[in-house]
Amino acid sequence: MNFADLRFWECLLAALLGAAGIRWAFGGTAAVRDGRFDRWFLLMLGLILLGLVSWLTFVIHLGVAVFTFASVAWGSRRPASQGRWILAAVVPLQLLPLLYYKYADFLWREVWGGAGSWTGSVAIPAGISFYTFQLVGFAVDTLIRREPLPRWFDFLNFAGFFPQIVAGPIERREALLPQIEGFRLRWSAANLDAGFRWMALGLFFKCALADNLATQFQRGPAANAYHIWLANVLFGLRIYYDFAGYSLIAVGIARCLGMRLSLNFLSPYCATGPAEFWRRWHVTLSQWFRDYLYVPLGGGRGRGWAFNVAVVFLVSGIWHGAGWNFVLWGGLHALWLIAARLAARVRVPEPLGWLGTVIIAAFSWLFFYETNPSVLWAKLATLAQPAAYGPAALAALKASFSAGDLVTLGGTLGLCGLTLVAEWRSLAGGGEAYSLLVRPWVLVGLVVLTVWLAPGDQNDFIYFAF
Amino acid sequence: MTSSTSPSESALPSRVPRLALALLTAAVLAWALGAWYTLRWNPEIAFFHRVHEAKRAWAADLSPSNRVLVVGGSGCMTSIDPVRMREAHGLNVLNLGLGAGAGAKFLGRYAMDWARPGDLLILSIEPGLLNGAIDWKSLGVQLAAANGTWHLWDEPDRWEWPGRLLGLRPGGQHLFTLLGKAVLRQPWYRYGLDEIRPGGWHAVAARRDVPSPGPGPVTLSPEARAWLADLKAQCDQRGVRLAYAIPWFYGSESDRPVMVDAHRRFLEDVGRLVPVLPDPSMGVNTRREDYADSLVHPTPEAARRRTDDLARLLRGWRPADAPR
Repeated sequence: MNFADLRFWECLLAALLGAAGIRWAFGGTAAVRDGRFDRWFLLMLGLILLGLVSWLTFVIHLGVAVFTFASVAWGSRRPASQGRWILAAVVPLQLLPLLYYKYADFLWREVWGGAGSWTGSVAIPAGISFYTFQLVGFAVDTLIRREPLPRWFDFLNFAGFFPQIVAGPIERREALLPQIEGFRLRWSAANLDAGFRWMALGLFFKCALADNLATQFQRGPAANAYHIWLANVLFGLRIYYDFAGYSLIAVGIARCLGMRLSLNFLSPYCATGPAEFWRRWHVTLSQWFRDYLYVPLGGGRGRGWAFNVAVVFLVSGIWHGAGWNFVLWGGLHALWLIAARLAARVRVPEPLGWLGTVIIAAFSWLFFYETNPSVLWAKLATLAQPAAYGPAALAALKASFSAGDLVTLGGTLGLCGLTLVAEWRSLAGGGEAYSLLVRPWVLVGLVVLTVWLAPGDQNDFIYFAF
Repeated sequence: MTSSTSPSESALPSRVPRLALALLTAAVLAWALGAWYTLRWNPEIAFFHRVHEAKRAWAADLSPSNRVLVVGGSGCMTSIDPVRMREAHGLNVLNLGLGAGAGAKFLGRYAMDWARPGDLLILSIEPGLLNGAIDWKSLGVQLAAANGTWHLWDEPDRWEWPGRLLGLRPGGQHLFTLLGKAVLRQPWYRYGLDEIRPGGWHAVAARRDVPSPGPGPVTLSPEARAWLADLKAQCDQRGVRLAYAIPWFYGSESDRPVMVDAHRRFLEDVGRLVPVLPDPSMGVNTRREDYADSLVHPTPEAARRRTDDLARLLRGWRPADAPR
């Protein structure tokens, strides 16, 4: 399920060719005519691709999905008044595998004071953070909003739609389920063109930008403020282009199959404030937190709004990883949003707002990548010392790069800069995010750059770790 | 706001996905151009290909008995002079050193491609190549293609050619560096073809300040362990004797004890799988003036001494002496 791995594309192409062959050979049968074959094919493809990731990934996914469907099917037959109580029992059980695989060791060490690993250091099953949230959303929508129960294999397709299962976008049932129910394996030129458009942009983001940034990223010494800031900028750009690239490829694959997924990123580094940044960064996760946590807590109304914001961002932080650094990262973003709302009446010129946004976002990435608490504190102390910004530190930073490395770094950052300018121009012209980058001739250029610039040695997607 | 609708989708329905085909065509043409550049014009590949040709010419002239093959990264390529081995020590040595960036997997296969029953194969691969995953690196893929040794791409149980073919591209680091050199009007590659000596020994002409690497982790990864064991089994099956010799690193006097200690532990680990040539220096040389432009590239004069040292080690060593 790694879109940067050629093996995924080989498997996908082989499966699609096989399905096309079967459809051609058995085109007259009822199963092909009424679309059952197509939906079964989609289900099998998703399950096989999950199984190829690891047997644990396959078993846990199927377990969470089957439990969700069975409990929601049972709950939906109970009176509506019992919906909240049923949900109160179902959601913790849905979250149980996620809590175990992602947080058990953290709780064991940090809260219980235990030594070593409680889970035996088992790798986190791929996609568990994403599909668990999607299935929690499904349970809420079905039990509380009394949406009708889908057919079981349509539900399994909804739970395991392969382009988005490993790293999102996290889709709502009303957006994805109707498309799944009406899925037909038919090729249309318009869908292929639109799908290739997003895939080409996604591959450019991932292979030409993020992977080259990855080769330049070094955590660096804790005593050099310039090194820390450079690492923050490189990491911030890398995680954006890596995750946005994955999401765009997912949108593109789905679109080729005739399905529309949500765009997960909308040029977040063009934002001029924290609220806008979070409307543009990991959009579907932000919407999930808004709909299933923030609003139920009371939302932005009343005196408890700041508390609600803090809860949402602390949970968002811990969702990203089991570590105090992620909690701090969430807390920092909560403080930023609360401060921005309290100062809403202060008129900040847009360029200044943008500069503040990118500086604070870049600063916050330190909490994201630096998982060693003692190093994190040392780096924070360095950043707070005016003396750490002297010419000697700048000279030490420059000396840490060879001339060739500096040229590569400059070239990669220059390309990222040009891409960001194109993103900004897309929005400034009143268009949708990335509208300039998905113009046909621009895309042809991006494809050529992707083929020439992608490093030969593969990098996994960062968000697979979450 | 989050719809995936493309902003500039064509309003006119068509039966042919023209944009998709245009993008695929652009990708194929860009790849073909990148592959052509890589195999024909890339100065680094051209340099290593010329080194390979020199090795081939030397091998053709080499007596088939008692051959000693030494393989490794550029440290090996720049350290061992086969002509001196023959003329001063009467040893039949083939220096198979190429770029360390090609990775241990390629270097091992490259060596096995030359090895014949009765040969002694000495791995002089940098420890840094053995402390992580042992997989194909793009330089290895490109060198196998440029040398016409396409069969080195084959995997015993998997068909990996599509991935290998995709590796015939320049990559961002190479292109940006080339762009920088064009702007700064520097030579395309830091080494000249005239530095390649008979037998494929690279006499480094460039000079650069070489800092001591300091203490660093030198451990054998589980993948490297498995790779070494597999290579040993292949050698045993083909009647090739295998040994490991640590390359000759620069280290300052202050760093030397830590480096020696790290190398000793590394060699003990390697010695459990493959016989190790007992090098008294433990792969650390404190003479800064012996190094040309990197901490494993000796000057031509120092390379001759290293060649003499290796010849003495080879004369006084029998595989049976090695710790098992």
